[in-house]
Amino acid sequence: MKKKVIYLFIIFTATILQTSSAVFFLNHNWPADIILMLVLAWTLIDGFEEFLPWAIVAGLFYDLAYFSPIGTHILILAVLSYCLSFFSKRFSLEIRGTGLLLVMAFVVGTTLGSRIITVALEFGVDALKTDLENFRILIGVFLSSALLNLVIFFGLYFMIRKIEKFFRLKQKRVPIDI
Amino acid sequence: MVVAIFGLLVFFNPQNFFNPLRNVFGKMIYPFQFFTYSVSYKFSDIGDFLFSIGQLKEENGKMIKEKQELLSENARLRDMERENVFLREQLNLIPRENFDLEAASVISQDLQGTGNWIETNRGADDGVRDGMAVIISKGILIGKVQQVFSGHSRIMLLSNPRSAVGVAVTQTGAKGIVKGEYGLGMIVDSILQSDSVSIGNEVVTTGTGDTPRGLLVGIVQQVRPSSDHLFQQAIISSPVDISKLETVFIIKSGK
Repeated sequence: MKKKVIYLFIIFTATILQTSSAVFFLNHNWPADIILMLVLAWTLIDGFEEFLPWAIVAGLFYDLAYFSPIGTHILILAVLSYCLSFFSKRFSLEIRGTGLLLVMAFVVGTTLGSRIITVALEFGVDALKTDLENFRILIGVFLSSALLNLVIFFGLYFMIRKIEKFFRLKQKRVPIDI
Repeated sequence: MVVAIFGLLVFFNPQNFFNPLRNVFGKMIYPFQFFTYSVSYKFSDIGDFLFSIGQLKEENGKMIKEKQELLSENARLRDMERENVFLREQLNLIPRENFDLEAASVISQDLQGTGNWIETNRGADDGVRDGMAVIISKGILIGKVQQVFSGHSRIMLLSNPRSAVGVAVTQTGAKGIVKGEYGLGMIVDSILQSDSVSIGNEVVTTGTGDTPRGLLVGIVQQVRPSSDHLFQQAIISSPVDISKLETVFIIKSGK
């Protein structure tokens, strides 16, 4: 129960910050995505299977706050969460060494991917052509957004780990010898 | 399984079915959003002030020059206003300032920074309806009410590609439709080739639907032919920085 309340509180807070604060501080033209980074950081910590229900809750909150058709962000977050989990198992992604670089590349790729999906859904595929035509202008905006997302991702990653440790949310698995 | 379920939901998009859920969620989140938006606005305002100190001297010089120009223009406009009041009386038009306005606080904005919409804390309970015009200051149109819930509403900004408002160029009377265009902001479309439009011209509403006549929409920045070369298009910029909005006014009706 304690875990559910804490997880819900964190996702709710992220939604409020994303809707009411991000446009002011986190790159107005291409705001950093706090909810997306939260889901990625959490997936890396908890794993896809354990975190999926919470990715759905985060997606639902995102859809409700963003006025998008219910399911849009649930799908985006669930798919990205699965991809990160898949890559982390295949390439043993960790926040150290080469794994760190791969995680960073994933976050940067996700920043671009989620924008492409959202713009295509919101404005149609033609809008992506406009983005391609304005690539030189957008590259600076994209890089600053990706950088902000990286900072938020690592900030959230270490914050969630601290929270889970502080509230002892991780269940310890006792090895059974037969 | 998850992908299939939510994929179907997105495909069929039963918006009205989820409206009660959005309503409850909106009521739950609104006080927190209101507080966070106000605090963030104040902080960003302080940040802007600190960053702008260096530019103040240069801007001050510009302001003095502008003030002198405005004083002379003001005198000319006062004379025109007198004439305008007389003409409006003759034509039985509603005086421009006499709108029944509902002040609303902005509580959230388009999360992707594409200037699509804002959310305010006034809804059906306050008499807000779909299609009502939303302004700031003394008559600068920023958008229309798109979706109304009991305690909050979503405002579709003029830069939204789905938005369309009838407008005219004040200096020449050229008519067109202002639409949002992704990546460009706002364009006035369907201006006849024979009409004259120049950079710096003001664009105001023509008074179609729930939008009153004479509200300022923007200033012409660029004029170009439409893709089929049948019409002209004018790219316009709004005098409003949407990202810095705190309070807007919903025009409920003319008094």
